[in-house]
Amino acid sequence: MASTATVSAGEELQLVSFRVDEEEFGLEILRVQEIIRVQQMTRVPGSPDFIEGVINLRGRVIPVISLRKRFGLTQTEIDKQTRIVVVEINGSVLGFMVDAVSEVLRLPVHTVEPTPRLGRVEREYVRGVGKLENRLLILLDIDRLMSEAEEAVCSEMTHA
Amino acid sequence: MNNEMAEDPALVEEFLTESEELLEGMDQDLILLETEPRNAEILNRVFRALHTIKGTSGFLGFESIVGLSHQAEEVLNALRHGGIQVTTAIMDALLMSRDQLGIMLNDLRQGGLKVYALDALIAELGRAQSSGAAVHHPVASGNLQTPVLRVMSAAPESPPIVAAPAFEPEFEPAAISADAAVASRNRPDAKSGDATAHTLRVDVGKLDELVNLIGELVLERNRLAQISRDLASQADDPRTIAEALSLCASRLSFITDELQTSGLKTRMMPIDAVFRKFPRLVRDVANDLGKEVELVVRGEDTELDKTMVELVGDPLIHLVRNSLDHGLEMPDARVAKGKPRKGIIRLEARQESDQIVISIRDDGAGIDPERVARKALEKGLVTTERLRSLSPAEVLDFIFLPGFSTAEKTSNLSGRGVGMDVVRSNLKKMNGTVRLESVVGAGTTIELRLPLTLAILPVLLVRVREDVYALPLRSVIETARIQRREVHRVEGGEILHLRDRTLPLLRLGRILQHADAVDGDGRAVILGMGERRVALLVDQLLGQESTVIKPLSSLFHNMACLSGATISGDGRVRLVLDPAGILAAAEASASLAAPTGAVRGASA
Repeated sequence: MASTATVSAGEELQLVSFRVDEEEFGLEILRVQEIIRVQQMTRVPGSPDFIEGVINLRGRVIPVISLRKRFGLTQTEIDKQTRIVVVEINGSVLGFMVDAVSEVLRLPVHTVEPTPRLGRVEREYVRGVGKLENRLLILLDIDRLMSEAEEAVCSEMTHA
Repeated sequence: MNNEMAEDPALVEEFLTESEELLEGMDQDLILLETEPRNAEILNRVFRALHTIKGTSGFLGFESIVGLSHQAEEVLNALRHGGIQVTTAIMDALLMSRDQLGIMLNDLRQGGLKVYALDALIAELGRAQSSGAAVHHPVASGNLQTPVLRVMSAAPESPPIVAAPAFEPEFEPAAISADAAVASRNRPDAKSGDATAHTLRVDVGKLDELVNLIGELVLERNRLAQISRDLASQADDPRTIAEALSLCASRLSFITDELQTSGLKTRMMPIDAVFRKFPRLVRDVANDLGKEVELVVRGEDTELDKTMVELVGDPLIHLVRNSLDHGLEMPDARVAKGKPRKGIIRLEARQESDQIVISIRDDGAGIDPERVARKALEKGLVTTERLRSLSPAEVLDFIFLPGFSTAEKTSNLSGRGVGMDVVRSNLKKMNGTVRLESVVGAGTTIELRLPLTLAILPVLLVRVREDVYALPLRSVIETARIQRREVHRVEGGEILHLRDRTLPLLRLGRILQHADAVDGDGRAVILGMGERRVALLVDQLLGQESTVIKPLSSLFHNMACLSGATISGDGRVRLVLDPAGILAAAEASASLAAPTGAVRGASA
């Protein structure tokens, strides 16, 4: 399954790639706990729009963030492709809802370039861009994404 | 001294656990000894505890611990054999040795012993031992908490204040100040109960019960496997299999219920683990303040969940300090009021159905609602209008609001207005409540109510539109079917006439910002929090349930209306509402909409 890009002697990133809207993103595989299908979601009243709700992950209650909404897009219908990527950030587990998960791949570190001009995705969440044959892979900075999500929740709550 | 290496980690761990327990007992015994100086039994107990610590630390090669405990033991020996008598100076020296041993054990737990400047303390013990009743002490009444450390830090520049022959400042100045800093940091909280954080002693009977149940579970699992094989081979007809399956399911449910109960029982421990810190705390704080206090402790064998025992410690310390600092008057002032010189603080624990009630009662000055009201107005926490409609009990409740402090001058004992709100929020974390009652001139009672365990919460399930929420049953007073004509609009809000009472009415749908909250008939859940009652309107009541409560992600910690989540039978997540948060949210929005007496109906 690992579509090996030309493996150099240098360091490699092992990534899970997924799709949100037209863009393809990569997340270090060590950060990903598991990838699950969308399940019954419980909405949390008063939480920001981009929090889809909470789900039961084998007895743990974890929040799910819609990456589409976080990037300012509208959430499309949930279909057979939609997945939740479960990650752990600073000891708390949460899920990111993405349009589809594509593959696990390796990327030589030297092919990653710092953030160039980007489309809709806010630049702050991007650690860099990797080149893969004829396409580009955006490397996501989930810690950043999370801390800003937290800030957004806090400000939303105090303004409520 | 630095090469005191830990040999076998397991041995060291055992030594630490044992010694920490011994030290904790010693704390209590030393205080008792002060009141009953001739009680040989207590004296022997303290002696034996020190002797055990000395013996084991000698075996493990912790020389500095041996040195200190040996010297303290000598003092006790002199006391035992009648050479000297108990004095405040001796007690201070012994208590300080105990604290120092606590620090050393703690360091050992954190990674290793450090270098300690013990000479001054050992010298102090030496003087205590040799001079006894005639001991010449720098601080006459012994009411300054760490006389020796004061001498120590003064030593480098000036000659020692005490001209005792055995006392010579032969230590390194740098080491002293660091050591003194450690000592003074550890001292105020008297936090020595770390033993409880690492291990838990469980009654063998409880474990046997648990193991039995697990055995039954295994049998039932085998039965299930058999049924599954029967089903696969179609050995029996479907009806027999269905019957067997349903029997198995009901037995499984019985066993798991029992297992849950006994599993929780193993986590129960006596609240004594917290209560035993108080005699020492009260003694030290009372000495510092120059007050005379008797502490009466009851119900220390009341059991509650280990986590709760750990969590309730800090709020209790805060409350007892409050009583000492702000509640009890100075001895002369008490006499002037016709009270006994000695104030009494009662610390009590008891079980009431599925709750643990802990009360702290003092016979001090009490809290004046007038003063609280003035303060609340000053701080802008309430409007004059609103104040008029509140009962004295409701006014006293302002004490629990953030940023409120009635102390005219702040003291380092009970904090600077960051106290009672923290107590309440800590209790909220434990799904508990706190209530205050006070009679001016006669004293104050604070009552904490905690669930027996954090894990299981009886809830009432309610539906709003298509969503189901759980309300903790302990806040539910009653439920009622209501009709639209019983609801009245008043300025800025709605009220409900229920029998002879008028209650503010909140619509759960609106509070939770459901887009289309219904305005029709519904069910009202009457919530009670302390003195307040409100009616919460929901679409439907779905019944009661005992659920296991799960924490919500830190993402949601700011959401006052929610206290956690549970998982329903079909695997969906249900949110648990926080009644106090709902009330606060409703009041906040009501006061924004109409600042003048939005819920005036409450006490009409």
